[in-house]
Amino acid sequence: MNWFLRGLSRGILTTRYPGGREEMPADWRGTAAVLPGAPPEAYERGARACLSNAIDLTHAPPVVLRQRCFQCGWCARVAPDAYAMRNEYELSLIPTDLATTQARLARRASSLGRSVFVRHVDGGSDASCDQEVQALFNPFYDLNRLGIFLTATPRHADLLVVTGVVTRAMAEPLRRTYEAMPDPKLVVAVGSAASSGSIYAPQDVLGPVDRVVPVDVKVPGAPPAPLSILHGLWVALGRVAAHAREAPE
Amino acid sequence: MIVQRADATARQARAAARARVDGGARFVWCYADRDEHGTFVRYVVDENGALRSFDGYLQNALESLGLPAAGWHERELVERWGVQLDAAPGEPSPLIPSAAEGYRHVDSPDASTVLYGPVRSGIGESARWIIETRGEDFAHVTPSFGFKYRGLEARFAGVPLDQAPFVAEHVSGATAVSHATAFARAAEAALNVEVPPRARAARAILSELERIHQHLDALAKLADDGSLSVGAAHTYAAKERVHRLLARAVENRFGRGVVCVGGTRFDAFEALHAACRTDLELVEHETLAALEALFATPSLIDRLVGTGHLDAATIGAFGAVGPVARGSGVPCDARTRDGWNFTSQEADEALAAGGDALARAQVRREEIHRSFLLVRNALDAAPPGPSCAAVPSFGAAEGMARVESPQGELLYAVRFDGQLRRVAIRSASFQNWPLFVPALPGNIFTDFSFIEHSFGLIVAETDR
Amino acid sequence: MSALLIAFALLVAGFALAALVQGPVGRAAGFLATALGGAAALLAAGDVLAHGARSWRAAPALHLALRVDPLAAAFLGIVGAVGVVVGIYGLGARTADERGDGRAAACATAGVLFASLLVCTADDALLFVFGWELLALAFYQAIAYAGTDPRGPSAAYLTLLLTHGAAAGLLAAFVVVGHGTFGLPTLLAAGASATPLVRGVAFALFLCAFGAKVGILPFPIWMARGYTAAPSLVAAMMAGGALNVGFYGIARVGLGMSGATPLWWGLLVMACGALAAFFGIAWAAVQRDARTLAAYSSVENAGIVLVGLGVAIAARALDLPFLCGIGVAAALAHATAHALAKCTLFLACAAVRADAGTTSFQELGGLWRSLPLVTVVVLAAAGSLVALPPSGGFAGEWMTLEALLQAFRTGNVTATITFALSGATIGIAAGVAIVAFVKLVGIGFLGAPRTPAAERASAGRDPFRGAALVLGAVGALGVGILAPQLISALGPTIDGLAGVPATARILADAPVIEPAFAGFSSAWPLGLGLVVGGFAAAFAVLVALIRRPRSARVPVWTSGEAYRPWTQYTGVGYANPTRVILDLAVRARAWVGVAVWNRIGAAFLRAADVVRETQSGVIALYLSYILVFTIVMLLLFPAVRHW
Repeated sequence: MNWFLRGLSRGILTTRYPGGREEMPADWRGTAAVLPGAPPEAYERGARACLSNAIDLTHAPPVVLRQRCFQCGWCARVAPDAYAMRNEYELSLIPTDLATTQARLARRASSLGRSVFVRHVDGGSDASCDQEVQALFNPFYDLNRLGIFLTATPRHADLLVVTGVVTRAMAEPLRRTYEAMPDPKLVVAVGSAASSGSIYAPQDVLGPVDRVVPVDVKVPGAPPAPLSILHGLWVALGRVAAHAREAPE
Repeated sequence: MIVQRADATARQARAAARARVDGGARFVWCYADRDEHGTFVRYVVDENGALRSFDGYLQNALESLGLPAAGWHERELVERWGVQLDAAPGEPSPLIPSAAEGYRHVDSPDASTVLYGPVRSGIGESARWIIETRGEDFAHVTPSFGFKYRGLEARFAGVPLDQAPFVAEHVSGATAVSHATAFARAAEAALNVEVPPRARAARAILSELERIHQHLDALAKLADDGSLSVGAAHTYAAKERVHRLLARAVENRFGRGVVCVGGTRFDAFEALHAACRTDLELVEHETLAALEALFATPSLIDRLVGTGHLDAATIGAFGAVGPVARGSGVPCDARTRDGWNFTSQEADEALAAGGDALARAQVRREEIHRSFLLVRNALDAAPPGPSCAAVPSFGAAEGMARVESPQGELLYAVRFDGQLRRVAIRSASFQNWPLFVPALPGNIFTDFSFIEHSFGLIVAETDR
Repeated sequence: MSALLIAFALLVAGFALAALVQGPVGRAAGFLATALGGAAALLAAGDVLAHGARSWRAAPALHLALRVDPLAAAFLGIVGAVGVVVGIYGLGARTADERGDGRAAACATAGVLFASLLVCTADDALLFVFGWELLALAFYQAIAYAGTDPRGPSAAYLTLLLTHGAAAGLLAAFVVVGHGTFGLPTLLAAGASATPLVRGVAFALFLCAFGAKVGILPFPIWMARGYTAAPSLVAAMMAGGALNVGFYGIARVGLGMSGATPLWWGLLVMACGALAAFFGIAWAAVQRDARTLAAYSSVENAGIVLVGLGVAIAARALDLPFLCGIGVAAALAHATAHALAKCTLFLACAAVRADAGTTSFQELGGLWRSLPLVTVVVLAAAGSLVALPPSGGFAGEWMTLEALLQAFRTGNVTATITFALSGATIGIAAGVAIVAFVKLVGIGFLGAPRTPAAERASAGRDPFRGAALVLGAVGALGVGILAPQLISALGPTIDGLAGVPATARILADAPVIEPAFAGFSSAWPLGLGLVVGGFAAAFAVLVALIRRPRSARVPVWTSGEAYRPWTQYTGVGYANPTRVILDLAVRARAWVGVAVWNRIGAAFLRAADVVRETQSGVIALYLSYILVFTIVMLLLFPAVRHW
């Protein structure tokens, strides 16, 4: 009774997103963006400051490899005229061709019906991405209202959420989890490490998730905010189009 | 603390460390490093609150310390650094996942072996346990980690000092502030940098807010395990409010990208002060209300009483730290040892005597209360001045520092030789995971997640 | 009668051939004789049940008198049927746990069958005891000589001790009851004139003697060791066939002794039965080997049969002849069902031992794929032992419980309480039996192989084995489905013991069986069989017809690791909750062994030590014995002469 009354007195905390608008705090660091018209020396200074080599200087103006950016904001502090942190949170990326991927996702998602079961696998994360995925089930976001549920067994899962860069030891368990899921299935890589390997040295880890299983949507961030992950799931389910495709490295 | 290289052999260092431990000191750490003269091993003990280190170059085989507290550390020396120890361990490595074929600790034909992990149910980190059981209970448990080894200690090498805290934040993203602060303080100790009081206050606020949201995470998981969905929902909601507070103040929900060597990257104190002026009271009120209701729910308390009991002797033998130690009445808070980050008054440790999961949960609840107090103290102090000190150029230097992360005592040791050469990390989780082995026997299968979440440890900072 | 004599002759010939002719021919001859002897016994039983009692008498001085009345015929039939099944199985190849070329096993099987038939049909007390001792010797041979277990001799010694001790009890009982006569009917009739104390002592001795064979407490310690040391093939004969002589004995004495039957006889038998049922199955549930599980399950089923017999004896004492009838019917039906199911189970254990090398649960698993026939047979036998409808065990246990439910008719408080408690105990035992047999089937046969030996198991191509297993399984199920037919066939036995036409009442609404009191309750085993079979068939048809979605074959999901068969559930783990709850009962097994038998054995050994002193081997001592005895005799001679 205590809990019931307590809950009633709090009212509804749940966001309407993706059914309605939602904002992150004004200064919240989304992904890095290139400001045009800065001197090349500033671009280079910012690129040197990036630990995960997310700034591709071979183009002019440089391109931010969004799957590698882990939102530290250092490039913007070091070269504020060349780079700035965008406040946006809808950061999901889909690989290569936008149109065909979108169509394929929509087709596959339609066969899944209205409710979807999610299986989470930790490929080698730093524990923050896992906590943000868990946060999606708290009263503020409440993924269950969208028909997305968590399952313990991959046999019942439609969607695989992988957090963290995939370590050598976790490659085989991840692959087995993927193969234990029945078709049709979707894979969402959550976090910059899962999307691209970000700061991890290639000799110590296996690499991003798409080295082991095919990935449908990547959500960069370290960790991505729950709204970003939610957007990523919504893209994977074909309910909304992704804003961007992955820039080739 | 600044670490001075001693002119001794590893054997002598080991003997000196063992002598101190026999004299009542607490074993903290032993790690290896390699420079142009060869491999050297450093032993660190805590003697009445002060850290003492003993190191020496490796000549040939080394004697094991023979302490349960040093078990995993020495395992790492053998497996990652090629140090030869005299005693060959019989158990499967806790640090490198192995096939676990035919391994039996319980010598009985009735016991069967179950492998739990690495992919477990729910949202959790990847870790594996070799469980030997006679049916419904635990006869023996062997942790078999190493699935999340990402080579982060080696990743630090050569990284510029302004970017190095980002690597530390990747070691454990959930406790990123503690790791970045520990790294920064170790570097500051090595390079003799004095952090301005404003930055110290900002760091204090951030680390206490981190303690609050991590403790809430552990308590929410306990509520989830006890099928108290409503309680878990309220506790996760309280945690979410803390994250939103951090996002409003320092642009990141976990407080990442704020701490740097010398202070904070921007005037974090001002941002925190502004955000807390409006939001802290609501966050505190909701959090404490949720905790009060949680601990007044008998169905949850019933599951926690007597589960995963650890007595003070075991805590001492394994050198446990953090809420795991404090839950058995053993005081061990790095904040008292090295002075609280920033406070105008002495604060005491939260201790509980039960030794079971309930005691550890009570310790966490007490610490949340104290953390809010410490945050207010730091906000009220409002020291003026710069937020970052300049870092001088450096050659060869070594430093070590410890902070109290939400899991317990966290140490970083750094070595420079013109650039960052070696970073060694001893996390509280690495020290505390071995206590699973004495804590589990006698409990039944369904108690596993209660014990795991009452420990509240992180695998990412264990495997690194 | 001639069929019975032919049976005896065949068995003697088979024994001789097996003993003398070398090689597989001798072995086959022994088992063929068992099969044919069993068939002949069945014929003899059918003949007596149809046409009434028969007897055969040689010269009186030879004490060779055989008599087959309906009660003996019922048990002849049971033992004969088991003999047929075991004999057919034995015609196949030699099983792995038979020593040498298996002739010892064949001899032992023939010997056990011969002795069982002799005990059931003996009409003379000395012949009865002779038959009993022959049975003990046959058991000894089976356990000590026929198997390959190195612990065989010690198990055989224990068995011999207990069955021989039982024979001593028998002899003592015979002496107590009948003075001077040896003919069994006169002996039992003489009981009427004895005092209640004498009769009570005699009954208690009989109960101990026969109870040692069936395994009431505290006697079952020999069974597990004995049945595992003997080859499973012979154990089938022992547990399925010879066990029943114990029931025959108790029925004969409890319901055959003239004079007023005291109530406590029936209640004592019932109490012993209920305790045996409970403890037997509690011990069975925690066993690690299929054969020891089967052995203790025998104790449980023996307990249920004894409860039925106890109801009959108590009803006789309370002058409720129809209740006596249903009690006898329940006991006989359950004994038949158990005999067939247990023998089938042991034969299946022999098959598993031969094909997979072991019967220990830890090392089995996955046999449903490699030994499908054995799995189905074990399922049928286990179903009967667990009393699943529509098997024979269900019919027997249902009738036993129905008989117990008539407690309100007794009008006697003690009887009502005993009935109720026995019923409750049997209920608990039935529940624990499910745990034990789910363990047997689930851990032993289902899942994946736990060891390389289990993986390599492959079914032999032996037609005799398959035929015997199928025959046994069909028998175990058929006894249940055709329970009305079985009861009507045993009609003369039931009516003879009850004294009233109880069978007609039981089968008043055939094909439904009723517990002899109209309108109380009923069961239709054939209908249950049809329903179960019908549902199974309908399900199979449905599965075949419905198009299944496209499926893929993938490895088992185990937390992302490769599947390792040794992480499967073990039998011990599965039975652990049961073991924890029944902890006191399980530990009682050791207590029985230690507290009761060790003490008795120690006392005997101490007495033996003392007596041994008198045989020191010193001539002077022996001469002095003679001197002392002569002097004593001289002194007492006048008194002795008077006497």
